[in-house]
Amino acid sequence: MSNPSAGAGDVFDVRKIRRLVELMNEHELNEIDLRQADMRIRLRRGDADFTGPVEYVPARAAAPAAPAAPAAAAPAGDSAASDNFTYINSPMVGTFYLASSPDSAPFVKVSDHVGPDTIVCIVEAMKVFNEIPAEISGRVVSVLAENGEPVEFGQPLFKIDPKG
Amino acid sequence: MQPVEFLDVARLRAVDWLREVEHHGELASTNDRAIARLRHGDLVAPALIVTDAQTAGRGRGSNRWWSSGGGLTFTLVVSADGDGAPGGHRLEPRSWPRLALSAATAVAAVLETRVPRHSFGVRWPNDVFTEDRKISGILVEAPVISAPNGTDPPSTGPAAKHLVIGIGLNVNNSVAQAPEDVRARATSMLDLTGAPHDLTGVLIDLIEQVHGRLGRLACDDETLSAEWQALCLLRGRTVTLDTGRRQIRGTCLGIQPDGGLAIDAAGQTERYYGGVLSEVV
Repeated sequence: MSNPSAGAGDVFDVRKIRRLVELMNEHELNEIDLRQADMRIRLRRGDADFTGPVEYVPARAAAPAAPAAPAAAAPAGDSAASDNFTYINSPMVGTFYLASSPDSAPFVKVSDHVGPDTIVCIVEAMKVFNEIPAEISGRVVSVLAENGEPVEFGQPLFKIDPKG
Repeated sequence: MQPVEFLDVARLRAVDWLREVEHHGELASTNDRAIARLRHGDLVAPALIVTDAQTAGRGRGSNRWWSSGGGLTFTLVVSADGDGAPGGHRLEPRSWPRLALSAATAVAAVLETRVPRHSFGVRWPNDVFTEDRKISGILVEAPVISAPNGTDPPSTGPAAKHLVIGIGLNVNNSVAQAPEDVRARATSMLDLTGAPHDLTGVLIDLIEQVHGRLGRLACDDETLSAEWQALCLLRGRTVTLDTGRRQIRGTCLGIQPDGGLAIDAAGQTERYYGGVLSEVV
């Protein structure tokens, strides 16, 4: 995970998977979900019904040693002081969409820069599709919700580096 | 004189509270067109965008609204804060989740009047059905439009200033001409009555009914929520709701005053605000 120039296929390297499992045990993580280009690896342990937020590791950035740990456990806002990140939270209960339609490109991707009025996602509530603006400036560190999955009021959707 | 099967734009423009009527022979999506006009900054609400044929109407996810000549596919654009428009209504964001439901009750009201001897109901949260066949679908969007030069940045919460209400209704487009899968699960006003309907008259009735309900929604009129509770098609039926994360199977207890759907599953009643609902037959 520490080599940012690694090819896309490296995400499936057995040694890395072993290391990820070690990290999950070490930090008591229930789930790790990594995406690189069009490849994905998702590891789960313990309760299969785990429904906490999922973090995607940026493909281009050098990944930290324990990529899924902090955001998966961090409540929105509270962690800003400790890790200098901030979060875009869902303003309502609904279903989270990363793109305006299944055929469209996502509004934003990891490492994109967003401004206060950048649309980052849609939250649908009872067939009303609400575009959600970032309301802050910074760089997208990770996407914390799954496309097409339900989100709660106040749930963190994106992790943002305001200095990015 | 236009045959009744065709839209008479002059009659539409005579609706006194509409500030703009835009008519197309063919359009990919009236909602997309409305949002593009809003982003361009030259659409004045309340506005109506209507097309004779829609080629890429959107539904939930990858669903598409089937549309051919003779049907109504249109978008009503209203300002969320009323904007001093004639009869404009200030619609607080907390009321937005009930917009599609309110529009569905408006469609049902028009159908009850124009298609007697048939009963219509709402399949939560936005489809209108009769006799297990869909006749109308609704999709509402709340787009965020950036102010020029970065002024007036969005405040907290949903930042949309306009609400884009897209409605498809099968009027004179007989499903006899539709693909087989559509024929089995859809119907039109023509199919139900055996005679063509005044397309423009139906459209004017519809936008008036929707407009009236927006006013009632804005003031939390309890008679509006009573309408959707009475129109709930699946109350008392066994249903499954797929929320994307889990499937809930239970007895539908009906659409609640806040627009949520109550389901009793193994003695536990919960209220839901999203997901794909289906009936267990």
